[in-house]
Amino acid sequence: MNKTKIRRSLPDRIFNAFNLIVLGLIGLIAVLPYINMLAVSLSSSGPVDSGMVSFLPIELTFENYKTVFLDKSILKSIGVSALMTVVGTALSLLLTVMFAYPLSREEFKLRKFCNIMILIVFIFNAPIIPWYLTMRAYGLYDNFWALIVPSVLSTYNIIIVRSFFTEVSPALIDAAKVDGCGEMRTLMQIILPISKAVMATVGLMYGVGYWNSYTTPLYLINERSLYTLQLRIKSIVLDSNAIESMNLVSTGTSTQALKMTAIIVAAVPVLCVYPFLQKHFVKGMTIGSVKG
Amino acid sequence: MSKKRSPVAGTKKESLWQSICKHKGLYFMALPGFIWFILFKYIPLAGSVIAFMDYDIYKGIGGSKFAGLKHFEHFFKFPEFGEVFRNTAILGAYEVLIVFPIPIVLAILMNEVRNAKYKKAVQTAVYVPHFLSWVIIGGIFTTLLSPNTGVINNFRQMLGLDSIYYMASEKHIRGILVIASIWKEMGWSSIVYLAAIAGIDPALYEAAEIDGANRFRRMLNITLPTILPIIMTMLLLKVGNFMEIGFEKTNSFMNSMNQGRIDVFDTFVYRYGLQNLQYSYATAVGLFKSIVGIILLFISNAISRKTTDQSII
Repeated sequence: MNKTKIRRSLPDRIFNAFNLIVLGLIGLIAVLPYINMLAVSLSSSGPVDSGMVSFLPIELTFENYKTVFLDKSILKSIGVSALMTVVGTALSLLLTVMFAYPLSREEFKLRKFCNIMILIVFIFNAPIIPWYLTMRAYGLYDNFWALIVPSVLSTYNIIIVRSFFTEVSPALIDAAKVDGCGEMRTLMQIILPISKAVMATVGLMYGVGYWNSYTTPLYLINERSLYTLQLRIKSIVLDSNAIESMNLVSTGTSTQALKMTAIIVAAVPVLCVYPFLQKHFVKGMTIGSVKG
Repeated sequence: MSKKRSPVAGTKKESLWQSICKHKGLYFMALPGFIWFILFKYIPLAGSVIAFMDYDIYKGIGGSKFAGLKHFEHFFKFPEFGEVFRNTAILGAYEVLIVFPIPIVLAILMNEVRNAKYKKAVQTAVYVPHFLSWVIIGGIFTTLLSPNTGVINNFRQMLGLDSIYYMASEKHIRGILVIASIWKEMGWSSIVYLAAIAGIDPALYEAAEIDGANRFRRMLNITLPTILPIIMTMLLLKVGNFMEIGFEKTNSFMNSMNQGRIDVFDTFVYRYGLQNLQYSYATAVGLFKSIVGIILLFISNAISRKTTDQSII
């Protein structure tokens, strides 16, 4: 970047140093909470309860993780969340490309109508209680599909995929048609293979969305065995009763450490896909700024 | 705003029916999405009529009595209305005045870093919280601020100060929400500005440098003015979303002790609708919020169009 070394003036250098320090501090502040949580989750109950742990574990132990992973209700919630994320993302991607593809094609006469239709409900936030009552009327209450079907499509993601498809050369589609491809086959075998980047972006968005979803399960799930991890975490953090049920008395772990461990367990999957997220999402953000 | 109509599509007129016959595949593909939007967006939206009824879940919409504006009147007279409205307005104002400018400053500072690796490291650190759910963020704050075992109060005790039960403190809770918002979104929101800054022609900076403008002058007179339109757009978008303080956010920090300070429309609706089963009343409150929200959005949009010639919706 610095091909020609320009001699920097003193105020310039002071500013640089100051800037690096400020940004370094911001970065550090952003990271410190995790380090503290990790340290606490790896410490024994004694030091945690007497408030000695700050950024390094004291009396290293994996007891907290053992307790969390041996807890049946948490395991069950991890299973529900994982299944919801996998099945939901697959279904969302399929329906999104199927809807976005016609919306990108001039031949589709209802294009304008559909675009306006999805935009209206994107802008106007309908009240949630009628939504909740409608879902119950559909039978989407206290069952697995209630976690997926009500949020299977997102207008934002449809718009992103649509703007990508619009860029695809019409010649390519015509060529496929000449070769006798139906619309669905054109989409699946010609268009999708060249849309890997946008599919990754949108897939990750749906995936993170499902894993993190809270309002939908809160409204539509009452049955404890269908609790998602987010619902479980919420009850562990806020209700002391929920954590009592983890039999912490017998194993002698600290409540605080158990809470932090559970939070870490819920955050780790997102942190694992984070490198991909960062790369693709930044791209997605710039595509997303293209207005509908 | 609106796309230009392509002349080709205009010349060959064919009826909808002809088009459907010709491109069956396309229409067939759009069908599931279309039906989903009707079933999961428009029917619930139409269900908002229960705001004007005394909805009885056993009788359904057809069997319930019409109640006019009763629920709205009830809500406006209710003392909690003032509280909810005040909380929403104050938290919204904090969002605009405190949370909003920080990513801009961050982006400008970030742009001045020449060491690419250092920049990347800071970005990686500040982007992460965006991907964590509010439940997780709420959990992190609750545990870090815990009165006996949280790290913040441990430091206070080390310094000989009394520990504070932050999450139960009416005085602190709004500040905590603001800090949590900044922590979660500061990095992510800066991306838009960074992208805008990256688009600035380097020749501009060089010319300014030759004219003797120092770093600070260049930031002030080149970087800031060029990204001003995007700042305006984002600001108006933020104002347009003024009512959307967010259920997940406030609900993740709320407890019976701090409720009076951070109870907003969405949490109110949840309590009255789902916990007290006052469906019609809660719908009326939700509808009121949505309508105020859409009015704000349209006002913002009109201002945006006037000032920056750009439409935000």
